[in-house]
Amino acid sequence: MKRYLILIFLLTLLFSGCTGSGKYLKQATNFGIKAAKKGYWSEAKFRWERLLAEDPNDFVAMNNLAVCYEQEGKFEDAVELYKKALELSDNNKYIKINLQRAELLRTTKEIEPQPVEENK
Amino acid sequence: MKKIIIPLMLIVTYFIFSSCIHTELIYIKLRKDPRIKVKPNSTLVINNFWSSYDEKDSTFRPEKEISQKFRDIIEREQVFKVLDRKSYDGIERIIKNAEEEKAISVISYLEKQNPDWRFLTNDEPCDYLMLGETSFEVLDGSGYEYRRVYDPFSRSYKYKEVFVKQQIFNIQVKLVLIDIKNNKKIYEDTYNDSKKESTEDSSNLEQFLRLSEYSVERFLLSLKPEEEIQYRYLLGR
Repeated sequence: MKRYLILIFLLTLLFSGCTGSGKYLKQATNFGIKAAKKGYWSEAKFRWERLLAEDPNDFVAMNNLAVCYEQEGKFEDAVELYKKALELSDNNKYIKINLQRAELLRTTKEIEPQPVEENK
Repeated sequence: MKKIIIPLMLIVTYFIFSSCIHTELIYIKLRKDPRIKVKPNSTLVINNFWSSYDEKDSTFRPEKEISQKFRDIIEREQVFKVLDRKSYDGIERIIKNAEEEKAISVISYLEKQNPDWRFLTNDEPCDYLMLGETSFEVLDGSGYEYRRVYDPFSRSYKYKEVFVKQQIFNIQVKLVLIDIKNNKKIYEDTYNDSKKESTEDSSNLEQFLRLSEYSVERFLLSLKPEEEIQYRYLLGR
């Protein structure tokens, strides 16, 4: 009986991530990560945006998209997205680190000299 | 009992592992705004540089050469259109006063006298004005040094005391950029450098020009967007 139990457990483990929408989510997310790692940020952004459009509460896609925004220089949008993802993920420690770093960057950016105003 | 436990275990395992996330560390290049933002194709006038008051060395004053060198470098970069200096009677008067009063720094003196830099903005047909100040000294750095020499008789290296004639060049360049139309100081940087050189290599002027170059390069760098490498966590499933 024990042997059967172990077998069932292992089979469930194997197929748990490969069923239906779970498989799609995994593939799309990880494809985005691969693309980002190779520097194809627009491709990664497209994947994660699509995931977020399908599930607006997907904090994984939200966090990854926020990283994309930071890469593009959209610091304000990134911080907003990190905050939302942190709330939905129930204080995921990695999202928290990302948010802290992004906020630190935003504050240092504010100290920098302001652009010279155009003369009227 | 077993009939209930087995499906329950399956369901729990499924939910635990299907929602499991992993993390990937990624390095991102963040583009930061330049330290100084200037309008494209704006005009600049480089005022002749001043040297800080120094009683000991009043003969060697490379200010004109340094300002010309800076002008050449800035023109080469084509960030500004560099114009010739028009009239700076106001400045000249203040400099004269500064020298009479033996002020340590002419720029600080200028700023103290006119905190809003308004005296510069009256009749100047340019967007920005660069003011510079150099402080320099040549020290005798000659002395004995231990050098590793090869001794062919014993076929080994030995240390020998050798007298080396050298000079130590110290330079400080203070650069200020003033936005003429808004009466604002938008850049200030003080650059220090020191170099020990053999006296036969080149003249004092060449040494100072070479040493001062990096200060204007730092200024030009601050006009360009910066890149910063940071790491973030990407979440995977």
